[in-house]
Amino acid sequence: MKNSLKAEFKKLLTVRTTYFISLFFLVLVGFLAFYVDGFKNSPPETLGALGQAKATLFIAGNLTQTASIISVAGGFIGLLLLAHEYRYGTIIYTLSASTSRTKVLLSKIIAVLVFTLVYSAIATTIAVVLMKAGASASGHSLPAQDVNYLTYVAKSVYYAEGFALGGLLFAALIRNQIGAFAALFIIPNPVEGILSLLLKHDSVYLPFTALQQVIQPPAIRGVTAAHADTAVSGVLSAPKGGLVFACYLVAAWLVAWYLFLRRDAA
Amino acid sequence: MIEAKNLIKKYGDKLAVNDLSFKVETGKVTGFLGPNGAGKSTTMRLMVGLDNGGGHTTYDGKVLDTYKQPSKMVGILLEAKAFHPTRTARNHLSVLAAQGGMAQSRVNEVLDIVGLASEATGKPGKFSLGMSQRLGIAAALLGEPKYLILDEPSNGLDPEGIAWLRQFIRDYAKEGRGVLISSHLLSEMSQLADNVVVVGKGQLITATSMDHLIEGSGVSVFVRSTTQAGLEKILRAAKLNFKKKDDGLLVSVSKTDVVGQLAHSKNIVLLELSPHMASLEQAFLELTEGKAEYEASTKDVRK
Repeated sequence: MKNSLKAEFKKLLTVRTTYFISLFFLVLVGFLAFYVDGFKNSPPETLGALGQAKATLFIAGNLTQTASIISVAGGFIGLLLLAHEYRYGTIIYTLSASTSRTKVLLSKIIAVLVFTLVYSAIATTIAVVLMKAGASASGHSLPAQDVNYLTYVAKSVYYAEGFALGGLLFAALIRNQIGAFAALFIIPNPVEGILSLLLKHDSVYLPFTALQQVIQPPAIRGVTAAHADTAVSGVLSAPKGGLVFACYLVAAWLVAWYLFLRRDAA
Repeated sequence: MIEAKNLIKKYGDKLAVNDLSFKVETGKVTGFLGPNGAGKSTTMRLMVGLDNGGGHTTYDGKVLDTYKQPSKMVGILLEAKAFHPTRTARNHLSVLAAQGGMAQSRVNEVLDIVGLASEATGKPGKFSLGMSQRLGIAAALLGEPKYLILDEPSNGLDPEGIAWLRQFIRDYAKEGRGVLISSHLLSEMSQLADNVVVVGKGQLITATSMDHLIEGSGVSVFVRSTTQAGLEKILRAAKLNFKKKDDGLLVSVSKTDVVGQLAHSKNIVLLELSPHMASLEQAFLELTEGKAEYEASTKDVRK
């Protein structure tokens, strides 16, 4: 297991794709946080509860946006860790050098989880700092906010981990890079979007819609959504949404694990 | 010793490997021969657990996944281009060394062995087929395994590379290790393999020594004379089978003496008298006749 883990981290860190994707999305997060959110769109200082609520929602919105962006990076990196093995045939070395396919799969999951954890934590921190720097550069100073940053970082990390494991899952099930990318792009939005037309309110129980609930900015206590302009609460609470998604993920991974054991190497 | 026992692989209704059993001895090079689609690569994949199928393969009496470090028991080269194109050769091997629990220092050693030290930081995506094969061989050697399973390793190698590979594999086997090597270059195999396993349509045709394979296909004597008609007459009288070949005759006897003495007794002048060993190609074609998965049409395609 230790050897497999070491190898998986080496695989992640010895291809330029990892660096390219990580850097590209970090730059995007930084640009949107500093320029678009902080510099251009930060709310002018308003006194009182309304000002505090606006500032809180502004930061929450920025963190939600950051989570959405880094989840794409996590999904890509998770997907490529396995899809590249099938595409380039290195899976034959990975499987023949290991005594257990379960250990191989587990090592990949752990490597993706750890990488995404570190990456999303760094990206979220950068986003907050740059957003505040952007607001400051535009001459706005945000009033005191009621933001639990730790919770937001945790939610961002969970959301990004969800997509990273989703990407890895699609690669494990489909074993084809293009097919896995197509699934990662199509299932969370178009497919679930169409299904939501049929399921209406129950669509929040669809996997990626449920995951979306984790990072929805909550309505601020004591301030209505109308006052706060942008607040839209998910139908499920963040923990419930996370749990629903986790159930789907576990079930799908059990299928992927079974197939990984039973299928030929490529 | 590697023992493949009753290997079976089905793709739908098609039986790609059909109850195949054979052995790979230590200290010897075993050639794995068969026409295209005979199931050689599939068999090799079954042997190292990459494909799921029937039967099992033991390495010194135990199945591969019971060894703590399988890479130290068997090194494989099944696909020449099995690498990430932009991960450097050194990093590629470094990943494999980590996976197999080998020391990272081994990476530079194997790069030296296969002559790729100067390309260690090169991206394999830009490697020629020959260089890719060398990288694949380096990967197989990482664990200093007791056995090597190599699927057509000389593909794409230049003549110098082929000579190096031949010598390397011979030396490897001489150290008391076992090598199973498949190749479609049959002449190459005749110079390399001690034993041979011939398969056709997934079934074992024969498992024997290389010498026996060649001898078994028939040894004959080639004879050329100034008076061919006279020679044919005395061969018929001696009830020896023969057939015309080029400007001489191919006589179905094992020793040149027989033909020489017959010709001498009738004062027939011989221009050439030589033993004619069947080539491996001949032996191979005879053995696999009707066993090829894909056979070209014999019709003339020219209009």
